[in-house]
Amino acid sequence: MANILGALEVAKRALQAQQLAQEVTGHNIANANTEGYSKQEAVMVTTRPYANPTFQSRTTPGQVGTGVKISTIRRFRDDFLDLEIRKEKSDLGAWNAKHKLYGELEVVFAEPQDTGFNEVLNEFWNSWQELSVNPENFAIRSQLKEQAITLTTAINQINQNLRDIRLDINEEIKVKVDEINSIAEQIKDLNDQIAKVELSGDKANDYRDKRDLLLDKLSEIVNIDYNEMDNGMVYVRVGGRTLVSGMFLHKLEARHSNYDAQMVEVYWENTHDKPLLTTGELKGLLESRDDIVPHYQRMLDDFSKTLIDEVNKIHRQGYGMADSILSPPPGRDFFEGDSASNIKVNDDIIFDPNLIAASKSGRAGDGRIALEIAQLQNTLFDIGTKRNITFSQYYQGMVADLGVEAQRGKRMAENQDMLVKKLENYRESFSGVSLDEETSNMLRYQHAYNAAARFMTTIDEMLAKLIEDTGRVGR
Amino acid sequence: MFRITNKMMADKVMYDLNANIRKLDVLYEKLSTGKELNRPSDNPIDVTRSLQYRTTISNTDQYMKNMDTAISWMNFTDSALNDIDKILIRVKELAVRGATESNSEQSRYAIGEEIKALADEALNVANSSYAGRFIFGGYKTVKDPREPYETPFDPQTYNYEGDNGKMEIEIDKSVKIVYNFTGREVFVRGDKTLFQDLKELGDAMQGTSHLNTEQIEEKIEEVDDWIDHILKYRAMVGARVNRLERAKERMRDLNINNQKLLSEREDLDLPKTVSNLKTQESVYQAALSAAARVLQPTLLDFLR
Repeated sequence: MANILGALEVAKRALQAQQLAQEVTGHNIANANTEGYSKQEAVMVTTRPYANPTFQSRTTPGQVGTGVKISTIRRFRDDFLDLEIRKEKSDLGAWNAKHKLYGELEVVFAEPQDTGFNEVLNEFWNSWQELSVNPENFAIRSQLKEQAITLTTAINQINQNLRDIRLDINEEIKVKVDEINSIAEQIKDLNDQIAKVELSGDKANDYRDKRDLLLDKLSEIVNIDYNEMDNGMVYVRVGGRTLVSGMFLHKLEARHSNYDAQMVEVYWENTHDKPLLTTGELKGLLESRDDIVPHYQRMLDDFSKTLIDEVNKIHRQGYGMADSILSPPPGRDFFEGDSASNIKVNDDIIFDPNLIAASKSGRAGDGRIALEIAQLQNTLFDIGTKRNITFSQYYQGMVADLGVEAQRGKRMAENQDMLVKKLENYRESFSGVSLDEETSNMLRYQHAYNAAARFMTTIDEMLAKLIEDTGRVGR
Repeated sequence: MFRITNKMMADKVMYDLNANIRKLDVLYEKLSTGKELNRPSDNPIDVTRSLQYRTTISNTDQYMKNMDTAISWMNFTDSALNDIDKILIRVKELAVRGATESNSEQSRYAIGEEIKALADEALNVANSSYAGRFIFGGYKTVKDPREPYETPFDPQTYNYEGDNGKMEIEIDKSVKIVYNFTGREVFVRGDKTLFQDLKELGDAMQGTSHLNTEQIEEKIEEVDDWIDHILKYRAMVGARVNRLERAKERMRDLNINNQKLLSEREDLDLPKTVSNLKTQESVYQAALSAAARVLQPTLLDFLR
């Protein structure tokens, strides 16, 4: 015989279950735009049925259901996609850092432009040509002096800009290290919370979402690998070495470099070990600061050094306007310095342009030295690692290299971004909240709730019938 | 089943709108700068070419400037030699007249004076300067207290004080040309200067005792030789000017050609860009209206 009070229990369970499901729906809708949120679902299962013995058989008509319950609140999440996305995000971080850098370098080497370095260099050689034609002309000497100062200032400026870019990147590296530590700290705290919640058998869905989001962010900055332990905590490694292991934290540290006091190096805290970085934004930044920018600095240094040496070599053989003709040439340098940072025009020449040694014989109208220097423009040199190249070709090659690299950086950053977007799209397809879906669920649960309430009313009426109207026969 | 959520649609719309805006931005930048190339990565190969053309153009501009300077210098040289030529012809006329025996001593004296005056005039021409530079002094183009040095030819002794300096300019990559003639080349033959010869002629005219016809005849022959000599140099100046004019012409053609090539690389193809812009703008408009349609409705709009 069925148990009418049991039926009330079924109704109650139904009401509770539908209401909880509705709450989950509300939670989904509320978090439709929350970053990192995964759709949740109240998983309904039937409660344990009981056997209903009868007169004829001990077991027929069979098991009777006892209603519904929410077995768990499930989170829609695909771990494999997460792994894939984080791997690609690391590369995206690295390319983004380089893409940004090349954008800045292209501002430094702004070409082709009427005021670009290429033109400054052309003007410099032309001024020597002018002087070779009018070696005794003071106005032309002054003009050459000005052009030479423009050239050296331009070189100093480019060098300073490159240095500034490196310093900016250096600051960014410090910030990134702080960010890694802060994320690691938060992951550690979430590990704690998740383990506590899940000890009781519940699923710490929202905490897990938060932790997954942190792992996403972390993977963009450094190359990480990670795995989840049995207690629900994650074990995160950077380059094979532990960053977070459950409740333990090994921080990174940006410490001043031994080679360059203004720059920092990244170490594991309180050790002399550097993390093994293979990709990620931090790696991109370090590569930018330590390889890419210095490459251009070095090229500019080689350029400056060769320019200083070659111009001086010839200039030393000449006479200025006031030098004694009877003595050998005074051996005056035109440029001073030996690199892009300190190249400058000889102070004496700045003070008196008549000291520019244009003359080979010492005579005022002799512009042969000036002409020899002017001809350096089309002379082939070995500059740095480049063989048989003119100064202009060297600079143009540098700009071309930069252009190709910048183009590649942009393309790679865009492609990688597209790839990550695509993967995130897959994840969103699986984990994201669809308002249409939630709305239709809302209606489903509402209808079920209404029906369960009606069922309860029906049982209530049946009980009332039994209690109030039964046994009154013949009254 | 591949679920599509609202966030996916919104993201996609934003991504596409962004991509559209970026393309528009590139076109706007090109239009506002008027340049196809605005940074090295726009087209590394074309940027390098453009820099090469710019350098070549700057080079050829300077070579043309050099040639202009040399041409005007030589034109001035030519006109100086022309003056000398006129003086010599006048000297010869006077000398021939003075050589006839019928002339009185006084008139020969006067002719002698005139010849000597002409010698000074020729000296002045030889000491003349162009743009502040002595044209016949070799490298000694200006007064120089170090030597000391005043003029290419000493007005007293008529001696050459300049040097043998050859002024060279570059007129093309490692092609050099000499554009001056030294006083020694033009005005010195043997161990005497033109002016000394003329002065001697003048002195011979004024010979105190008797008319030395033979000596004068000899001197007149020398004047003839000088006329030939100067003519030879005028011809050389003319030939060199012609050569420079031709070289300049060629350089100008080259320059125009390079300017054209540079412009093809660097300058904007306006019709193409504007039509691209129009296309891109309508694509953007379409994307916007699609976005408006996609982002609007949810099931809620249709439930009562």
